[in-house]
Amino acid sequence: MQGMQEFFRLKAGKEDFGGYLPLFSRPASGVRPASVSAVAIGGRKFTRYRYE
Amino acid sequence: MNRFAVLAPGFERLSYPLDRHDAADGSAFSERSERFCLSRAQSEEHAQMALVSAGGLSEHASEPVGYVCAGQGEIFVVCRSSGRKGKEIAHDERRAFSTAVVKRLAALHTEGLGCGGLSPEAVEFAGKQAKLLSPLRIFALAEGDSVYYEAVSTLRALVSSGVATEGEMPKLASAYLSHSPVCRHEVAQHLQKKGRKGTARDELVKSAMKIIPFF
Repeated sequence: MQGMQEFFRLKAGKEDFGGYLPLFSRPASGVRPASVSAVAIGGRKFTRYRYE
Repeated sequence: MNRFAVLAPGFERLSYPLDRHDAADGSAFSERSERFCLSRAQSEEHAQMALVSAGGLSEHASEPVGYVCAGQGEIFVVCRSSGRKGKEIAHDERRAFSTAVVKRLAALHTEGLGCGGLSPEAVEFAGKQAKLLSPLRIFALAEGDSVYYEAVSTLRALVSSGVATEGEMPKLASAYLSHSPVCRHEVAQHLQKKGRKGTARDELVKSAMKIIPFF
């Protein structure tokens, strides 16, 4: 699945995905929490990832 | 460390490499055998405009798939690159590359678009076509803008970078003029005003050799 995500939920105990969608393979190291949100620009939908 | 990234549908996977890759102008990274290049944007609004207008400029520039905000707050547009940069062009392909660059400039001018001139480093070459690495360089030409200057600086940049030789200039100027009625008309007017004889091609070559390399 590579499309637009409106939101996603994580199971209890799986919060350590840290904002990365578990649908994609996680990076081997250096995982930092990120928040994911949907943004609309010019009538098109994009996904915003915040790295912090 | 980057602050955030905004990605188009289908390119969400780039959130991982963009997390690890410190954004810088002209830098590139690969993901699943595809190459992506970063270009500095003046502001987030400029980056958003590039994303939204990508469809209309796809013939001229590589495809923007998102943008990233670096640690210092600078914004960089992420473009999918499908070709090779000027410095990666093999010796025997240089003539085809130079011709593709001037044809791209002519195509932009014919559509009323400007780019400030093209240097070999600002374009990628794929399938005998040259495209701008960043759509952010393209702007709508206004009344006072000179396509002549863009043509002259492009020819000069091709020679000064070693991609084309001085001897190839007349051919490149001809290739440009034959695809750019706008500039041909502008040079003809310029010659008429100055009361000079000669062809538009010769005038273009002469001017290109006079100027100091800009790029």
